[in-house]
Amino acid sequence: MNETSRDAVCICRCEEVSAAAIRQAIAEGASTLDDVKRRTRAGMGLCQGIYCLSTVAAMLQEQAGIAPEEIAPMTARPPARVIPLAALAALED
Amino acid sequence: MSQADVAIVGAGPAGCAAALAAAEAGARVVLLDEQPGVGGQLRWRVAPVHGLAPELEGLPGVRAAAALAERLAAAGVEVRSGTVAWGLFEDNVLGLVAGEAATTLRAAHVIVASGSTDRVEPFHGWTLPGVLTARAAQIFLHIHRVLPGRQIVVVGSGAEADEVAHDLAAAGAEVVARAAGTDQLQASGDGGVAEVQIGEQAYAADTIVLALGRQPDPALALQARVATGYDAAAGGQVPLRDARLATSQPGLSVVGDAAGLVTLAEGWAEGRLAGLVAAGADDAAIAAAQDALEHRRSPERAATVARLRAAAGA
Ligand SMILES: Cc1cc2nc3c(=O)[nH]c(=O)nc-3n(C[C@H](O)[C@H](O)[C@H](O)COP(=O)(O)OP(=O)(O)OC[C@H]3O[C@@H](n4cnc5c(N)ncnc54)[C@H](O)[C@@H]3O)c2cc1C
Ligand code: FES
Repeated sequence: MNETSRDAVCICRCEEVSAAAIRQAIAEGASTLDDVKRRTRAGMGLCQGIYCLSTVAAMLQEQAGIAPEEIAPMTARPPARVIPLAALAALED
Repeated sequence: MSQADVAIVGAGPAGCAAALAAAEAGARVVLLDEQPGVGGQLRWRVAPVHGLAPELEGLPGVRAAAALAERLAAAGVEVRSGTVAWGLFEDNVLGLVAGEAATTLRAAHVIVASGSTDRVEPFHGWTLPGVLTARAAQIFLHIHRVLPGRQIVVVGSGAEADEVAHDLAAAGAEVVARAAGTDQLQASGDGGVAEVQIGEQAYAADTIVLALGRQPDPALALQARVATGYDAAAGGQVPLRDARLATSQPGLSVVGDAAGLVTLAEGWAEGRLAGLVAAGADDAAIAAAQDALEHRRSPERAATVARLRAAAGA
């Protein structure tokens, strides 16, 4: 695969973020999974990054030279799954 | 809000072992799983299981899962299937949803045994309908009893890739090609996979099954902000644990694939140890469980665990 066709590959399918968009975010200084998420939405989708975060992590290593052990997990917030709104109300009781 | 001594999220082999051990030690145990039955990965695998309880030895996964359901009932564990644990809040309060019903549960001890997800790598055409993971293919075959496709390319080179290729062929699908990885892979088609290219070679295929291994899914423990450390074999950060599998958060432990990739036998032994600890079993029982667990670990895995444990103490 050449560079141009590689750039077109969708990395985050939930939020439809291409490799090119993530590469650009890293070029502009994103150095953590949370950074990339804030700039591109990659990892913010329905699957909570299950499909895309390992690829984003690999791109941070490759492009920004960040050691794998320096890549912190994306900040985890509830809900871990898609839930009905009523579930939040139950928490109040 | 309901209460329990020990709440366990995930009824795979690790969670089931934790539940059985905690109940045996006298605790009131609630075992939660979003799936409609217990067993985790066992529910949709027909390969023989090794290293769980002696009476399960050699059973196909699906049969071992059924046997576990009976043992849990006999042990007095409250099993709540079809229940998603979506949040873990202060004081060990779990947010739960079962169908439309939303509830909460507070437990003195929470054990996260939420397993793994299948790893995915993007390639040209990977978002086309017809691309699925090994786990999804196994669920098609062994839960829904339908073929995910007719002409299938299996991607990956581990034992799980061999297993899914074997199961697909046994069920009547044609495995038209195997690819070691996604480097040279491309899929194309109009509204679904129709052609798959591996390097220069093109194949007519309607389905691609990705068997690229799995990655820990400790989402609830991460919500609770447990300390983490890097595990190369797991491909990223995992919760740090002490010798009793406790995390940096009081009353919270993580076992099985959720804390780093384990074999069935190791996950089972981890579950048993954490269950005994959570239920406040005596020191002799806990020491025996620690000893049994050590015997289940490969030398490489033991070295990883030791390194992560040292980081937990630091
Ligand atoms: C037959 C067989 C052979 C195997 N052989 C090997 C081997 O040789 N080597 C090897 O390394 N591995 C092997 N494995 C891999 C095996 O999958 C894992 O070792 C094992 O399944 C891990 O068990 P677990 O209990 O940690 O997770 P799982 O079995 O994945 O169970 C996790 C459970 O948690 C539930 N869950 C997750 N999140 C939530 C939530 N938020 N709310 C509610 N429920 C939730 C899931 O629904 C799932 O049921 C084998 C597996 C099988 C089935
Ligand atoms: S693929 Fe990126 S959030 Fe789902």
